[in-house]
Amino acid sequence: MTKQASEEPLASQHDVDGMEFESRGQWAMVVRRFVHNGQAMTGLVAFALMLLVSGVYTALHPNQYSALSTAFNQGPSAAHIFGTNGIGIDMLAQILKGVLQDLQVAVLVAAMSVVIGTLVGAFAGYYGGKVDNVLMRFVDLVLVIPVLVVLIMLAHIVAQQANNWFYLAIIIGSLSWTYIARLVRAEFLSLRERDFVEAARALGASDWRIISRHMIPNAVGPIIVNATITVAGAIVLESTLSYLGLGIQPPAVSLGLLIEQGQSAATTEYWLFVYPAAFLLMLIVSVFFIGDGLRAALDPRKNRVRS
Amino acid sequence: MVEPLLDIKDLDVRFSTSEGETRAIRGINLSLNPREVLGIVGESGSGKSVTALAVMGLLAKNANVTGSIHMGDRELLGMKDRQLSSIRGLKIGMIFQDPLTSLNPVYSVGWQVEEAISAHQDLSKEKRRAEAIRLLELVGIPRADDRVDDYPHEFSGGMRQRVVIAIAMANNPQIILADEPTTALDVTVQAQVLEALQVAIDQSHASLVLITHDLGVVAGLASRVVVMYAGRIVEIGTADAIFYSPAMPYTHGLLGSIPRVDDDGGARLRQIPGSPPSMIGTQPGCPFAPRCPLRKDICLTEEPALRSVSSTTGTEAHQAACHFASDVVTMPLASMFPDTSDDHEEPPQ
Amino acid sequence: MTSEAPVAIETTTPLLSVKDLVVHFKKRSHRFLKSYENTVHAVCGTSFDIHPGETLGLVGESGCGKTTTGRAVLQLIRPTSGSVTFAGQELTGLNREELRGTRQTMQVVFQDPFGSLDPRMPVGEAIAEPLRIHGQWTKSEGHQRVGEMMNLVGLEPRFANRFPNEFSGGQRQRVGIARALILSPRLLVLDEPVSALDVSIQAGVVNLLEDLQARLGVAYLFIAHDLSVIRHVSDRVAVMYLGRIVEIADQGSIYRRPSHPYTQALLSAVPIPDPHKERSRRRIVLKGDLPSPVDPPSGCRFRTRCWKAQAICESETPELLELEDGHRVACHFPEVIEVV
Ligand SMILES: Nc1ncnc2c1ncn2[C@@H]1O[C@H](COP(=O)(O)OP(=O)(O)OP(=O)(O)O)[C@@H](O)[C@H]1O
Ligand SMILES: Nc1ncnc2c1ncn2[C@@H]1O[C@H](COP(=O)(O)OP(=O)(O)OP(=O)(O)O)[C@@H](O)[C@H]1O
Ligand code: SF4
Ligand SMILES: [Mg+2]
Ligand SMILES: [Mg+2]
Repeated sequence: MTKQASEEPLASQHDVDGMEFESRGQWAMVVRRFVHNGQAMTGLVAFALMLLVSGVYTALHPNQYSALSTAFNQGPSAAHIFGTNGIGIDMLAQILKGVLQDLQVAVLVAAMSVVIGTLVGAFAGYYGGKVDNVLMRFVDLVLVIPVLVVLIMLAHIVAQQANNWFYLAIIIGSLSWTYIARLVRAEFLSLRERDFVEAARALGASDWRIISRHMIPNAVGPIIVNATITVAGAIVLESTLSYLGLGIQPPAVSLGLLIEQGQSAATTEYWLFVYPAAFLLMLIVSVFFIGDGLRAALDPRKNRVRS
Repeated sequence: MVEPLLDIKDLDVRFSTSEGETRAIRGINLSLNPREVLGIVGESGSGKSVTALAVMGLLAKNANVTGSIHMGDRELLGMKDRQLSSIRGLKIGMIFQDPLTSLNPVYSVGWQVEEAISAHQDLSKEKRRAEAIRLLELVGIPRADDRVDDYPHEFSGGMRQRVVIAIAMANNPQIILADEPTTALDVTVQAQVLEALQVAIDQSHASLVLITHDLGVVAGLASRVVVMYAGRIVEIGTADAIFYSPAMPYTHGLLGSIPRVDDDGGARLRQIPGSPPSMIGTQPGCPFAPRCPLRKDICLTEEPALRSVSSTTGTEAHQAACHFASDVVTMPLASMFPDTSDDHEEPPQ
Repeated sequence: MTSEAPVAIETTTPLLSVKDLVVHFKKRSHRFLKSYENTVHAVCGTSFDIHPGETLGLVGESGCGKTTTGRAVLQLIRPTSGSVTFAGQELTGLNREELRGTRQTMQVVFQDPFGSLDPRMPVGEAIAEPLRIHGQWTKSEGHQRVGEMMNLVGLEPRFANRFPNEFSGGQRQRVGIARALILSPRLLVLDEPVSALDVSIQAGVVNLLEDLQARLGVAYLFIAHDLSVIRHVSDRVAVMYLGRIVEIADQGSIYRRPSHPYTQALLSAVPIPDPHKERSRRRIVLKGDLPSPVDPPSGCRFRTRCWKAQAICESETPELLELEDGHRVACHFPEVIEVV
């Protein structure tokens, strides 16, 4: 609080009896509510840790995840804390590489969903009428395309590509923006009736200006929340696909792929299965916690149940 | 002296909220006499509704209420819901601002009036219906016998409010509490509803507590007027005393700030600078001091008590909470407030 | 002779001229699985002029078409028919690009101080927005102009980077006024600018609007349902009922010598904050309810509630005719009754 007060140009902005100034803007409030939410902060800290550790480790040992050694199928030890697999690769290196790989896919998917979804939803909601009709029919169409079937159909094309994760992400991303599109549309339908939008129109603002300066900033909360949910969803989907052999292809690694490779040994060489699975779970749960925390922080009405 | 119908002593209401404790009512004393119309006026958030809700025992769960509210020899505060329901509707009828929320959309209006009657009286079905029609006619529903079976959504806002009045007077209550009964309505509809309200109190001989922010409505109906500011009563007196010789600067300001339909608009409006104080926490001194043109040092340190003032118009008790009430009473109306728009305002805290 | 002519034209040419304005809305309603299309007759043939620097008060009860009239003047709704001429230019039929120029000279302030400002935009930005939209924003002068504007409406310029939620209702309304005035418009449509404010705050905004008009010479179309406020601010007043103007005259004339039964009922219903006067007044309480604008009465729209109605009121629509100098009334039986 004192930090904010010192930003103020003049001391007279303090109340007469020294009551300090409310922090300014909604974003400060959002941040404060998020920070005070234990579950959300746990999620954020866990997520940041995973990202940091895997990022740093992979940067320091870029080829470790595929480096062979003579320690075959060893359980956790000081040298290989998560053990090694059947061809002697360090599991820790693989898991950390897998985390990064999953995030790469998920972030690209989320970014695509946000951009496509927001644009489609924005135009549909802003213009309504025919534009809305056409765009929403298109959304319905995309919605009924099953990702799995598309991937199975494209499997051998995608699987042959060198940077296979990228194509995978593009395919998932181009099919998973529909939810955000519907959400943004609904948001825009109500925003366009608001007086401040009408005021901008009366000022002669262009449609693009109204959409980008007034409407998107007011819809950004729900978009962010759903972007995080999309991240979690994409991780799950990528893992499922890799597990089914339709996703990431070796020598690249992903958590789903590791789980698939380790499952047959789940009872004997448990470390091949348990550690990747645990990381996958942590990753998904932490992203969900963050998303849920953002939702609560952006919508103060819903979490004021204390009284 | 007549025995008051309702006697409120040291009423204090606090709400615990996530931003801190809101002190909505800060120790008010008020009594309601039989067959009077008591007007309560004040700015938004000054505590008018909370006072009414406290009397009805309808405050939200996060409210912390102290003091006492006596009706006859019964203490209403802390009474169980079961006991209170024998008072609500029977002894006290209530009318809210929004008639849509106080009527149930799935029952016909006739059913709802009958329901109110049968809650406290044992009448045969036919008699109840006849009584419902009589009440609806009384409050000015045209062709009431045709319309008893209509549903609330088939009525206009003004007619719904009249149905609510019919329900409030169904059991000849001693008190009718009306919280902004006409605020949501157009003036011509307001005139109809006020007429219905007048009929209701004439018929049931009830006292009316009329909460509003429209000083004109109060001038037309109220015999006594209470002015509230920041959770306190800052002035109370007969309508004449309040309107013709107000003793509290806030009342002065209020009267000077409203344009009048019978005034040709030549004179500029007086404005009260600033905005009402926050209801969270307590500031020392007079709550109106930050906005008051007569403010002296004492106003910032010592809260003025509600004290009697002797004015020329009011023979009955005229009280005001201002250190300079006896001076204010003699001042020409609103002369103390500025009529320029040049003062610069800061955002409220 | 030639030297006087332009002056005469200057003062008699209206800034805004609305003729036979009609706005209908199509409304779909569903009943028993069938869908009907109804026409809401929101505004039906209203005509009025506003001269430079004057205030026309537009008053009437909820749903009578005041907002719709204001929005049609601004071309935010395209009128079904009729003409809107602003500074000599016909606005109906212009496309968005062609309207942009007019938008600078005709602005609007809305009723709801909470809804009319973008909650995610600092107030200084909101005030600056018109400059940016019309390409008048410059780094060197922009901030200064915003500061001047804030000063003008009684706000401290140093609060420019605060968000609307940190301001009170009255202050937000000042922000809205500053935003509307920064391009120096010649006409401001004020749609219930003070109705949402507490009385003690209302006075400040009303005074401000009066000062600004005196200083800037801007004309107001002042829309309100509060007849006291309208009397205070207006030079001329138009009373609307169910989409039509029933009486229009100078402020003094309409309040002292109201001639339409509806105006009389309306004025007599306004409470006066003066106990003696209020209790000795004669009040005209209307019977019945406002008819639906979907199916308005034939002839005179007020006839279903009028105590003077005769057969002719049902068969013939009374025209808005001049009764005395500049005082026009749409009633078959106009007659002055003093009610305030
Ligand atoms: N349930 C509640 N929780 C927290 N604060 C409350 C609650 N109910 C009322 N308040 C606060 O109590 C104060 C008084 O409110 P009240 O409703 O009595 O005002 P009022 O005078 O009726 O105003 P209005 O004219 O707007 O109806 C306000 O500051 C309000 O925010
Ligand atoms: N977009 C719309 N679609 C359909 N009907 C509309 C629309 N806008 C307004 N109306 C109808 O047109 C009529 C006039 O509405 P308008 O908002 O102009 O009234 P008003 O005089 O401004 O009322 P108020 O005092 O309540 O603001 C009303 O019956 C209203 O329901
Ligand atoms: S025209 Fe007839 S119905 Fe209309 S106001 Fe005049 S007298 Fe009444
Ligand atoms: Mg209230
Ligand atoms: Mg309106």
